[in-house]
Amino acid sequence: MNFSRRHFVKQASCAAAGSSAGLVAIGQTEREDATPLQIGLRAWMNTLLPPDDFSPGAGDLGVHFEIEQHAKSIHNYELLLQRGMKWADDQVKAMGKADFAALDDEDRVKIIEVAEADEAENSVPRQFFFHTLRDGVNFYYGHSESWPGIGFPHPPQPIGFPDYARAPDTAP
Amino acid sequence: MKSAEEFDAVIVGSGAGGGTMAFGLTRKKMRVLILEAGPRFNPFEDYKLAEETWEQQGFPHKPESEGRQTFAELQEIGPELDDLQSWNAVAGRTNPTKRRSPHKYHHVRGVGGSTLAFTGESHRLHPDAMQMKTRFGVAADWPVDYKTLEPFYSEAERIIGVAGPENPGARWRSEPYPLPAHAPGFPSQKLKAGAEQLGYQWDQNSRAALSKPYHGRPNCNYCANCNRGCPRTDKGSVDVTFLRKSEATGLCTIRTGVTVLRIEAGEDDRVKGVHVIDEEGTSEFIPTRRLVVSCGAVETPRLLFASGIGNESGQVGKNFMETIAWTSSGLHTENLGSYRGLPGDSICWDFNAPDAIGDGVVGGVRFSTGVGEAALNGPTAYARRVVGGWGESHKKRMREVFGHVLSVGSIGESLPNPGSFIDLDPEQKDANGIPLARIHSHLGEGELKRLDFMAKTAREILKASGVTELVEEYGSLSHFSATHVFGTCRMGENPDDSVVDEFGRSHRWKNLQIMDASVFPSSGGGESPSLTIEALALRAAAGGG
Ligand SMILES: Cc1cc2nc3c(=O)[nH]c(=O)nc-3n(C[C@H](O)[C@H](O)[C@H](O)COP(=O)(O)OP(=O)(O)OC[C@H]3O[C@@H](n4cnc5c(N)ncnc54)[C@H](O)[C@@H]3O)c2cc1C
Ligand code: SF4
Repeated sequence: MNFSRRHFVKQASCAAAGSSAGLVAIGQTEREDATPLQIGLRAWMNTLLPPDDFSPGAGDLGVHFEIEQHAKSIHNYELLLQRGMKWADDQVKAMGKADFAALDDEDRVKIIEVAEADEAENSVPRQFFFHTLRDGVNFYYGHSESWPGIGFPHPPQPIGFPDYARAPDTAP
Repeated sequence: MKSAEEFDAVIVGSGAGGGTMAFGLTRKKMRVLILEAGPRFNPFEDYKLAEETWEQQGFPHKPESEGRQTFAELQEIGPELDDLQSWNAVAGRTNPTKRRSPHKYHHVRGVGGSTLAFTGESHRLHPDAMQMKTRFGVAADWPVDYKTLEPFYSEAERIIGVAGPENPGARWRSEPYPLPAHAPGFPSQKLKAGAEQLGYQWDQNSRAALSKPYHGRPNCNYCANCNRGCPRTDKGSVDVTFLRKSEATGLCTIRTGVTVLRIEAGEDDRVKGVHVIDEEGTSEFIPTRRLVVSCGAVETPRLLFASGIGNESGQVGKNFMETIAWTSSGLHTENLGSYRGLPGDSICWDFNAPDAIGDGVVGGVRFSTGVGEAALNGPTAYARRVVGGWGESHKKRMREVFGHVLSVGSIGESLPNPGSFIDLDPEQKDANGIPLARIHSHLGEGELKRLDFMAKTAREILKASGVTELVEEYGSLSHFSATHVFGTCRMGENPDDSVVDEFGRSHRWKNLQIMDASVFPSSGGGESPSLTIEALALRAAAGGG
């Protein structure tokens, strides 16, 4: 069966919801037809907004595709994604490893901390960090799969919140 | 399509003023043509609150559903006012400059006007707030008093289906609200307890949101998102109330995407008609026997200026009053599930009378629940404004605090001053070559004192209600951000210092009426304006020429 990418990601992450092991499996399957930039970005997003026992990571939900798409409409954003990811890969190579996506979680976090701490306001790593985080958060929480755990049950409509006058999750 | 001659009146704009005028005139069996610059919104299709990306979408503006305005340079902010700067836990100060920043005149161009995005608080003006000149020597007196307006308030409330409390407070009523007040939400219960500890009275708010099915519209289901457009149609915006009833008469024709560029003056102190352009770029002259201008307090003066008409008093564009607002938000110790409920469901009127604050501060303020209007009601807002960060710690903190935000919003009197006015931008024009409206705004000493009182009291109420940590404060000092604008064609008895009379009739042009928020002589002490605009319009249509 030939799923669209977004459809595939949704299907897979629904099936795996709540299981970190399942989420790893999604990543492995999805990487087969992805570009190097997409593979790197997916890992980057999964580090910024990682999977846990409650919800998939941003990369698992395809947020990197959404950012890539969104970048097409903004001057120089595609270039920033390429340069930012190259910057991250270069840091990794200096550590003697292949690329950002090949790192374990702990090392990925270290690289992102370097980007975040860059004091030059307009540097590639800082801008890359800032924009991917801002847009990543925006896209990530636009997926209902990110809501379990924080207690947001469903979009405001069509059922609304008729229990609004009680403490949340208390029976009438 | 009927020809222009077949209409008894042409109304420009279909918001609170224009839509209600259409209702009032069609009820008198008059044939009305509404020219509306914006599009029609279909609540069932356009308001996407059932989608998982609801929070990313905001109010679903369409092409041409927002006009453009410019701003003259706003005032400097000295360090002595640091306590009134806007900030949030993630970004820090939202305006790092030393000057007020022009955020936005929030409005909607569309059938129903700005009420499409309004919260739907439905307030009568405090009777004492209508005599500000006589009593305090500021602003101007209303040429109509509360008693005269009261039957029209009641009628507007019946048409909308306003849900309100039994106790009317300072605003006496000739009849109860058509619908019972909404039960206060869980966050409001906390605020009530906190406010009462401080000796303040915290009541249910009167709301243009149905507490029971009414006139073929369902009741509210407490989705907390009135400002994104109500997909149930229970919110009493003008499209589903006054205009729905007007169109049902068969006497009201609405042309959308039609912008009025200029009013043409005729002989005998009468206007002849309007020059318009439609979405296809087709220009047309539409003659009329009676013209009602209802473009809102920013665009109405612009149209009059562009037409060279109506400013015999020199008051057009002057006396601009804006929304003086403050919101403090913090984290409550308990999970309140505050993403639920009816925005602004409770209110404190204790400081709403013009002399209620004391210490020589003239003009009142009110306090209400503010989570919904602050849009702190979804995961994205929490992530961006409350929690911040990234990685595991971000997700953990989201789990800890989501649903805990409690907000107190406050709106206060805005008094006219020479630094606040609307004129035409000398350089920037719209696509039709008409200069844009330029907003000049200055916060006077009284506004700053009121803001200070609003901020301190909001924080005090939050603390007493169980909030332990503030996470965001947003106010008019850092940003011009107005949803309520008034005063730029003020009404009055004297043609020398007012533009129109108590029925919105031009003092000079016999068949020209202005009916929208621009006719307000004073703003009130934080009351939301739509119900008053609608009461004025019902009265103007019933009796005004
Ligand atoms: C986010 C938000 C929340 C609000 N909350 C509340 C609330 O809770 N309670 C309350 O009472 N009020 C509230 N308000 C304010 C309320 O919506 C306005 O005060 C009210 O709608 C003003 O009515 P009006 O007739 O003056 O102008 P509008 O309702 O703005 O209508 C003006 C209309 O004129 C049209 N127009 C303008 N220029 C032209 C032209 N040249 N040709 C043709 N058409 C033109 C516009 O397209 C528009 O449809 C809120 C507003 C906003 C934006
Ligand atoms: S809270 Fe009620 S009135 Fe507001 S949009 Fe939701 S259903 Fe409509």
